[in-house]
Amino acid sequence: MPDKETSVTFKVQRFDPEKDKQPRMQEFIVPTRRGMTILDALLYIKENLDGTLAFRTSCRMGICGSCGMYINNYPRLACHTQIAELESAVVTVKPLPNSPIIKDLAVDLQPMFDKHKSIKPYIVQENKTEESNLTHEYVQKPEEVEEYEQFSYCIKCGICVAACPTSASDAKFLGPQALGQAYRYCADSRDAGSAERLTITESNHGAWRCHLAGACSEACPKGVDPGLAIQLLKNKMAKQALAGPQKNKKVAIYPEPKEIKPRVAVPPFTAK
Amino acid sequence: MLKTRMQLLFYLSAIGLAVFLGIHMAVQHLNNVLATGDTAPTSWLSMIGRATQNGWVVIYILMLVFGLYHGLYGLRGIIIEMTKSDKAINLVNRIFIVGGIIIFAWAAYIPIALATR
Repeated sequence: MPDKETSVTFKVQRFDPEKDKQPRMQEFIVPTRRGMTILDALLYIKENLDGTLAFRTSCRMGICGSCGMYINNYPRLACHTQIAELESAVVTVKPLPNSPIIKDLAVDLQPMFDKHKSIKPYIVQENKTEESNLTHEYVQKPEEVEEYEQFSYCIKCGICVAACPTSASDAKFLGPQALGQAYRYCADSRDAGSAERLTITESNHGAWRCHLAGACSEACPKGVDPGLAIQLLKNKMAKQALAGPQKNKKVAIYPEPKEIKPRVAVPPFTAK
Repeated sequence: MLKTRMQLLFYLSAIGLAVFLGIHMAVQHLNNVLATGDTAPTSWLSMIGRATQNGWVVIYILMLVFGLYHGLYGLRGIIIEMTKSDKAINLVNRIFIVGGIIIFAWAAYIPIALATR
């Protein structure tokens, strides 16, 4: 484990599609300190050793999902992985697998976003005008929120897709991210789009191609468990195939306010 | 939801296969353990004897249906996972449907012919 004074060798995959034919590995020696993350080390390399290193980063706190990388042969968020936890004097950093490389560690996540869009990742309303121009506020009970809450934590980092063996063999596979989000919206009591969404997810490259390897759930840095979502989605698809479209229970709407309560008066200024 | 129904049939055929293979094992290979009464269940005479009984003909044909469907649908799943073109997937589907029907007709003929001779 690297201590306060030690250095760690970083083997970083470099690839510029305009210059290189094949990716190559480049070594950097990075002085480490306690609590230093892989992202900190990459920023150190970029600032001090090689400014041409390309990688994607933004929030630095595991929220934006930009810095997904293949670190020591496992997909992880660079900002969410401390060098110490790898317990290795040599750290290899490669771009996420199953996505085309733009440059060095930056991959093109557009295919994942296209698949995500294809499953209608929004609340579908029966009344289409209501979809773009909400006139009501919906009431959801805590237990209704629990149905989908875990799956709504997805940050679209692409780590689950990188870990998925089916995505590796089938480029058209919708993938754990899109399928997990399909379940997230189907399970939402405000949604009325299950029937059309489930028709999309049962395609030749849809939910039934999932082999339940569970790699997506294991790798997900936010604990979303897309593997579970896909199994629950299959359950919904089976119910729809056997018993027809399953509608969510009609969700309650907050009644229109009958009177407008006057704003509570500002308390008098007491300090002198 | 045709593909989902077909996938559910795939699971159902696996259960059916397990049941009928269980019957096959019990009758033909575990006769000493389960004391089924037949001392030589794998002999030619014993097999021909079962083949002339309607109940066994139904079991053989159902086992054939489940085995064929489960095997071919599973193989199709592996192939389409490797196939990018939708046209190629349609071609694979057609080959498997036609091939499955031909194999079924050919294989079902034997127990039917034995039962009706």
